[in-house]
Amino acid sequence: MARVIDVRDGRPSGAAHWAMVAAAVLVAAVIGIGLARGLAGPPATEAPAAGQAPAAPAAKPAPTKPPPVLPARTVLVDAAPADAEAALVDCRAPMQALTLALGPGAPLTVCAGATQVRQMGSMRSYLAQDGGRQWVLQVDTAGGEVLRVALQGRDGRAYACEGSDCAGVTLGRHDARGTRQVTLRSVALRAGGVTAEIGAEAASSAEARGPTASTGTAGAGTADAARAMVSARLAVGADDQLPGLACTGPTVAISAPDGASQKFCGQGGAGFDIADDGTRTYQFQDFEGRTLAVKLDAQHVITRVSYGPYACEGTACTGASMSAAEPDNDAAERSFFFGRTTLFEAGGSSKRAGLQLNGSLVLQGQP
Amino acid sequence: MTILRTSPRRLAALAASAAAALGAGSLSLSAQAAFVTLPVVSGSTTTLTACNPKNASGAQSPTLATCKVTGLPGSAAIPGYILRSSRTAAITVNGVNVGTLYDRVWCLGTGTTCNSTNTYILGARINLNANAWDPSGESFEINDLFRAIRSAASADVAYFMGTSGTSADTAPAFKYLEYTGRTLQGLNEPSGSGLTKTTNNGWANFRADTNADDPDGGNSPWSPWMLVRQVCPSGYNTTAQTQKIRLRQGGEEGQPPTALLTSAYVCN
Repeated sequence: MARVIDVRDGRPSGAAHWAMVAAAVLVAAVIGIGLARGLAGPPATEAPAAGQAPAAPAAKPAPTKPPPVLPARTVLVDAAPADAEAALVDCRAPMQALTLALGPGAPLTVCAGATQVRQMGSMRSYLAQDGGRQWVLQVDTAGGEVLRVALQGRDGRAYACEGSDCAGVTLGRHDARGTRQVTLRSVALRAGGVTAEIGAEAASSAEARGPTASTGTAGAGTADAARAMVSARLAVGADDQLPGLACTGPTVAISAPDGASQKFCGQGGAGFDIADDGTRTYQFQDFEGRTLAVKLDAQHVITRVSYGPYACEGTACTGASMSAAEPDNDAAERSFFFGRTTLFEAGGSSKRAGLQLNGSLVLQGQP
Repeated sequence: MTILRTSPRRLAALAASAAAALGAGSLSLSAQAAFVTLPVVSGSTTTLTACNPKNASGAQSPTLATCKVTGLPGSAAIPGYILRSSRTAAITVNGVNVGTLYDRVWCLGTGTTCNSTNTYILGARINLNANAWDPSGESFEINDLFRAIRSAASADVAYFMGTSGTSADTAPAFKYLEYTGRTLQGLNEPSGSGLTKTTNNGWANFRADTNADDPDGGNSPWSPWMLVRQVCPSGYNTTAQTQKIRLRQGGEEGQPPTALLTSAYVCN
C-alpha cells in the first residue's frame, strides 16, 4: 500500500492550500501505481485456443517517470505475509541472495550468510542460511555430481530434488585463488516428495529408509504450492580455508593456463592396483572424488600421469618421478614428485597443454 | 574369555535381539569356519544371518567359528587368491577425521593374473580414533558397514579378526562380526526392527561394534576384516567409486544415529 505523503508544514491559505493537497495525493497515487506494476511482473497472456497461433505479446506500457521528490534508492515496501508479494531486498556483500519462488506469489529473496561446507564421507554439502534463520538451502554433491538439493523452512515447509531431477545446478571451476561458485538457476524442488531432512542423518542413503516417504509438511495454510524454484549463486572458499578440509601434508598444486588453481593432496583416499600384465597404477583421490593417477610399467617406470581428462604419457611426463620400490612389497610407502609436469587435454599425445602439476604426494604403506 | 560390560538400555535391546534370532532359527551353533552364503533374496524383507551375536550381557563367544576365517585371502586360510587393489581413505564425519578405511580386492589367480573363474573377494576393515566429531565430545562408533555388491549374484561372507601387531593386515579386532545380510538397514534402523530388515540385494551388511572409546566399556578400535566373495564376470572398477560403502553409528548406547557414504571398490 502506498504511503500518502503529507506535505503540510504550515497552513497555506485558501486555493494554494488545496492545490498542494491535491498535488500530494496525485504524487502518492502515481507512486502506488508504479510499485504495483513492478511487483506484479509482466501481464499474463491467455493460452491460445487449439489450432490458433499464440497471440502477439501485449505492448509494454510506457515507463512511469518517477517524481523528483523521491530519493534515488531502493524502496522497501511494508512487509506482506511471506507467501504473498515479495519484498525487494538488496543483499550487500558478503551476504548472498537466495531467490525462492514458493507457491503462486512473487519470488521471495532472502540474504544468506557465507556458504558453509560440510564433508561427510565422500559427500560434500554446501549450506546457506538466511540471516533471519528462516530458510536453509543445502546442496549435496559427490564425485562432482549433484546428489540432492534441499530447502527447509523454519515453519516446517520442506522441498527437495534428487539426482537428475536437480536440473539447473552448476559446480563451477576453481579460480586462481582456489575459490568457486555453486550456481542454482531456477532449480525445481518438490514439496515433501523427497525427504528434505537436514541434520545428522542427511548423509545416509534414501534406500535405507525404505520406500520414499513424504516427510515434509504441507506447510502453513493452504496456499503452499507443490513445488518451489530456487536460484542462487553460492561463493565457496578454497579448501585450504575450510576447517578440517585443508591439506596438511604433501600437496600438489594443479594450475590451468587461465589461472585457475587448486591444491590436491588425496585426502579422499589413496592406493594402487595391479593389472594382469603386472603394471601398477597408483591413485590419489580428493574429497570430491577427483583422481590423480600414476601408471608404471613392469619395470616401475612412469608411463602415464592423469588427472581427469588430462594426461601425459611416456617421455612427455617431464618432471614426474617417484621413490624406489621396495622389493616384493607393493604395499610399501611410496613418494611421487611433480616438477612442472604438464598434462595435456584429451589424451597424452596432444600438444595442447591443459594443467601443470607441482609438488609431491605420498602413498602411505598399505599394510 | 572376553567379558564385555554394557548399559541397562543395551541389555534390554540385546535380550530382544537374541530372542528374535533364536525364534527365527537363524542362530547357528555349529563349528563352521568358512564363508556363509547370502543368496539373492526374493522377498521384500530378510532376516539377518547370525555369525557371533552378543548375548544379553553384551559378550560374544571367543570360540564360535560361524562366518569366521583365520586369515586373509591368499593365506593358507583362503588359498589361491592374489591381491589386485588396495587403498586407504580417511573417514570424515562433519569434517573431522574419525578413522581410516582399508579396502582391498583379491581374485582367484596366480602371479598377477586373475583366472577365468572371475571370482573376487572385496574386503574392508576400519580403524577408528577417539576424535570428537560432534558437541557431545564422544568418539564415533560404527555398528554397521554396508558394502555395494552385485545384486543379481549370490554372495559369500566371512570375517577375519586379525592376530597381533599394528598393521592393517593383522591388527586384532576385539569384537566379532555379529550379523550379516543383504540389506541397507542397520542397528535400530528403523527403530524396533530387530533382525528383520528391508531386502536390498545390492548391499551386504556387516554388523560389528567398532569404537576407540566405547561407552559400553569394551573398546575395539579395529573392526574385523569383512569379506564378501562374488563372481564378477566383468571384473571390478580399479578406481574406487563414490558412495559404495556406508558406515553407520546406530545408537547402541544412545548415540545419535549417523551415517555416511564413502568411496570403495566395486564389481562392475
